[in-house]
Amino acid sequence: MSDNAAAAVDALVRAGTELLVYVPDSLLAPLYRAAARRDDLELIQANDEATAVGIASGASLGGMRTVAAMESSGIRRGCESLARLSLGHGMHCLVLIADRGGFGEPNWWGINQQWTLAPMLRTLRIPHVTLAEAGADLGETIADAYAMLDTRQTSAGIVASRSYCRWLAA
Amino acid sequence: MRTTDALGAIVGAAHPEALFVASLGRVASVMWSLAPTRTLFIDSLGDVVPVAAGLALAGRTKANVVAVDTDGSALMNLSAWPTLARVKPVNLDVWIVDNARYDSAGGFLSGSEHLDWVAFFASIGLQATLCRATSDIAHREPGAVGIIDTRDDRSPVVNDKSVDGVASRDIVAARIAERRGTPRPLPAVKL
Repeated sequence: MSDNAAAAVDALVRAGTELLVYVPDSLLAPLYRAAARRDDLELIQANDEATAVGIASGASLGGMRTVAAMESSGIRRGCESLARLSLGHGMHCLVLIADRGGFGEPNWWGINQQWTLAPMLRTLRIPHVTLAEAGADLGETIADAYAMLDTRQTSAGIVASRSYCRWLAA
Repeated sequence: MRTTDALGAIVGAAHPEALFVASLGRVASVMWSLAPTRTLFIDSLGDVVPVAAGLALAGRTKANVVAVDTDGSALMNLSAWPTLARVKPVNLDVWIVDNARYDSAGGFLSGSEHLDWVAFFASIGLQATLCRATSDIAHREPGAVGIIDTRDDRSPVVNDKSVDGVASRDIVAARIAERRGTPRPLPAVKL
């Protein structure tokens, strides 16, 4: 198991995260595997991102610090739930998004994901920040994201760049 | 059976502090009349059960969470059910009110008339109990998804629910915070 992934999960937990809901993807898989080894972080694998968003939004409303993790295509798949719950019901969640399709993407099927990620996050009114560098401080970023959720005005997004994801796997 | 009678039986049998997560349309109208301050109204097909599951997992309501979904909503996000089968919060009760149509859209059939709910749920590791009379509700298998047949309910839908999603969120969030004994995080760190 990657020490870097374990460190990233440490950062999630130190920032207060209690529940990680995810749809499997290869870029964030090291994070999920590291999280599975923890007793202090509940982990749920969902079959689709709409379900992950719903669970995360419900858990957040119940007072649980939650992250919904997915690949960038997941924002498309979860778009209606994000829109309905976050924009319509004020039920917000924190989404952690692997930047599939980012600069350097070698897979043809990944390229289109980059074209839609930023416009969709803007359309969904999800302020977001990118973990651009290897070893970037996830904990502080997560804490800032939770502070935004506490305003009850917005969801928040953290995009894990290809560099960050490579670091997770190292 | 009538939706009013079915949900009256469910609310009556639930823990007095149970929280409900309700789908839209006729179900929302009835839940508004039965438990207006204990119901999170979700006007989003397909999201009722995931939200209820999340709320139950938070586990801090210290009472059951009861999902009152509908056939159209349940069918819109079939992916949610295998996830629920894996997660199975012990404090989550799930009901599907099946009138076999999209009432709010003008009565188009939903497709549930062809669906064997019991077989579908069995195939993914969940039990389901069909309820055709209010007496069936009390005899539902513990932990099973309750499927309530309201296909013959032609009663008018009363539109008097006066909360939107955000107001409903705040009512339920306040109730949860009170039950936890800790206030909600402040929405600002400075005045």
